[in-house]
Amino acid sequence: MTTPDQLSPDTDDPGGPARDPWAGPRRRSRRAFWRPRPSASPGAFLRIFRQAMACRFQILLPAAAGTDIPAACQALGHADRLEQAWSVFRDDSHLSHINRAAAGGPCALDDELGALLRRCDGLSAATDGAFDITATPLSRCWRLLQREGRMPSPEAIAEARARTGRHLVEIRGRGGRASALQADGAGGWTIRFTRPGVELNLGAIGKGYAVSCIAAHLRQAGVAQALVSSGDSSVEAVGAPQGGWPIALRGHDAGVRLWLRHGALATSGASEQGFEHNGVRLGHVLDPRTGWPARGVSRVAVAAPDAADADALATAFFVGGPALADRYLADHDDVLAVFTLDASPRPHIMGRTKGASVEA
Amino acid sequence: MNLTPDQQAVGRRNFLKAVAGVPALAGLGVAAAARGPIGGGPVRVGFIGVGGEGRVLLAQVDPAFADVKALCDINPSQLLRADEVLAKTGKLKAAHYADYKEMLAREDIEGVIIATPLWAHADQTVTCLEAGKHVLCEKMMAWDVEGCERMRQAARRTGRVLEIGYQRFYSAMYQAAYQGIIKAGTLGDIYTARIAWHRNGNWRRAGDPPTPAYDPSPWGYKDWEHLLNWRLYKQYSRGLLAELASHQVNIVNWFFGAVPEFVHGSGSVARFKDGREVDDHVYATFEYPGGRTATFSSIESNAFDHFYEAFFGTRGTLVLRGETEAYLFEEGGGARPTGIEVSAASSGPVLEASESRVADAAGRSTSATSGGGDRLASYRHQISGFCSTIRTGTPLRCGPDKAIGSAVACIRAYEAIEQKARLTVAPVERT
Repeated sequence: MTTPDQLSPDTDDPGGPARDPWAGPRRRSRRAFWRPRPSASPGAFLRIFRQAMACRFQILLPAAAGTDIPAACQALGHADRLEQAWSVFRDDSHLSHINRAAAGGPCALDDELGALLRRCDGLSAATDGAFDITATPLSRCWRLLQREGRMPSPEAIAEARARTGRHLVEIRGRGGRASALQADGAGGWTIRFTRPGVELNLGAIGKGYAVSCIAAHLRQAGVAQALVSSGDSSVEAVGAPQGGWPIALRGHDAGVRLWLRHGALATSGASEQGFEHNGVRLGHVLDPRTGWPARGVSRVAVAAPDAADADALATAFFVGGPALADRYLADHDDVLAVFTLDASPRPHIMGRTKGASVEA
Repeated sequence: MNLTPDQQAVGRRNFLKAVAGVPALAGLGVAAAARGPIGGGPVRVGFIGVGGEGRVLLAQVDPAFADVKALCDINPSQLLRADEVLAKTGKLKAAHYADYKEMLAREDIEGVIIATPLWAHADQTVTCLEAGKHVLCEKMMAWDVEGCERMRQAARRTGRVLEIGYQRFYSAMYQAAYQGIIKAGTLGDIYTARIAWHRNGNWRRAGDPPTPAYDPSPWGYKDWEHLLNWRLYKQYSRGLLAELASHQVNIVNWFFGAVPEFVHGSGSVARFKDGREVDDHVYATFEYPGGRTATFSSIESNAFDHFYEAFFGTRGTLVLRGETEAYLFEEGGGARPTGIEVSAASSGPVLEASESRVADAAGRSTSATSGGGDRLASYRHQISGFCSTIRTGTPLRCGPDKAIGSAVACIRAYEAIEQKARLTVAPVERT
């Protein structure tokens, strides 16, 4: 954008609307798509953001909440802290250390990771193994960690499947939910892999967990209204404007809108990452139970009270489809899923949650 | 500024953001305080000076706040181009004048927006104020300290509103940075500020006079070249210090809550030895009370640094870059910048949720992020704020007292460079 102080020597252009690159058709189409709902118009916002875990962590505050900026900056520190501790892309992380050592015998876990791994185990059991933090050997054999994607041999898949599954991991320690606030070491957590070649990866829950930590930090700091998100795929509300935070679910053809009043939202899909083999597009999300890329679901969004749960369930439902969601929802309240299936562009809504409502 | 990989990621994100197209920002501040239409209806205004800057302002006039009745410029071509701006922005045609005094005498206007060469500000502003008009005058306030004082006194004497065009004060991002970071003490003790405005190019403009016989000498310009390139000649201009530094010194004054006591510096016509009289490379050091210092550089030979105001505190660093981006770095631990943006009020979604993408550094997440639109929004809010002050008495964001603090510092910096001396910045009387 040119202003007088920056005018290049040979022009004397005033700038102004004719040069405005923001006034493109995209904006008009979004406006048309989004029917005004004045009671919930949220006003101007501050966005406080930081890059972590290869995505953008962001806290949205009402514009008048400038005094919450220091708390927001502090809260974003959780994203750095957790990436440092749990990233498998860092050799010096706590989790990388466990991946190297836990096949040799029990390794000590800090309380936060111990409690989260226990929780992952529960989520894995409740989703029939569709959510599984041990699927890294499979991702490796499909070369998805390198983001190349290639067809492995059946033998390679079978070998990787033998190193995948929650039954290969033994976690011992006192129960309880993961919390950054617990005193370290009090839980006496240990972990052991029952065979070599097992690897843990928190990619399907870590961002959601970090979002949840940031939201908890903001609540404790007395922040009244904020929307925490990471890379658009994981969101948690700390309070909300009247009517809820308006959120568009991108890619769902019919244009699904969701109002998040409290609780969390997570999305899963494979249109952004994947590869082609023999003319068939294969996504980056693997079904740990078959060893093959999941098929049938275009994308799914899950609303639940907590961002870590929502994140894990979004991956599980993407892998297991509406059939798995149906079984899960029979035993669990307060979870809402919005599916778009490959076979039909119409969104398919299952379950319900107190924190969010959907308009499709 | 050296860029870390994370900063580069942010830079890429901003690039993608810019090319992807996002809605322009509408800030908080003024818009929130006084959403039009305001009581008493739009303020009837005339423009003096509709060159590049004047037309930027003209395009940003919000019809809910101001109604443009008349345009005045000594160059008839500029008036025609201003008509195009009015048409493009859906406004009615306005009367044309070459002589602003004639405009004041004949038009029923309440306010005047002045965007003329620096040397003309004081006389024009004082004349308008004494004619009972409210004035929004572009920065820098005036060519010399005496002119600034005359303007301030005239505003006091006449009781009219006088605002100076420091649009950063009307930017939601700057207001948020001040309220949320500076005032909150997030940076700890700040002893050092760095302000820079680096460009790579000639400041000289090329253009034809409106007619071959056009003679601007009745208006005080020796010839067409001196009118076209007034910024390059001492008689009309204070060079980079007035046109660029004064914006940034005003921000330092605001954030430090003080004006400088001393200034020294250096500069030269290093690159473009084409007869210009103002330096194309300028370096100045502003010394504030309490051991605080701001260093300024403006060069016309390299644009890598872009332009920014940076505050280096004992607990953190704040960088306000390009008038649209804000970054916060925690001192010590946090190698990663924390960015702050302000986005528009809209009835649209606040977030577009989608599956995670590869290295989502593009930040395609947000439906409304800061971008080039910010800068224009600040101009718009400035004009609307000026009108809101006239109608409802809302306080000015900058006003003559702050503006004069920056102007005096920059004028003295200009003199310090010329005299190769460390000069006292005369204390500015506060009301």
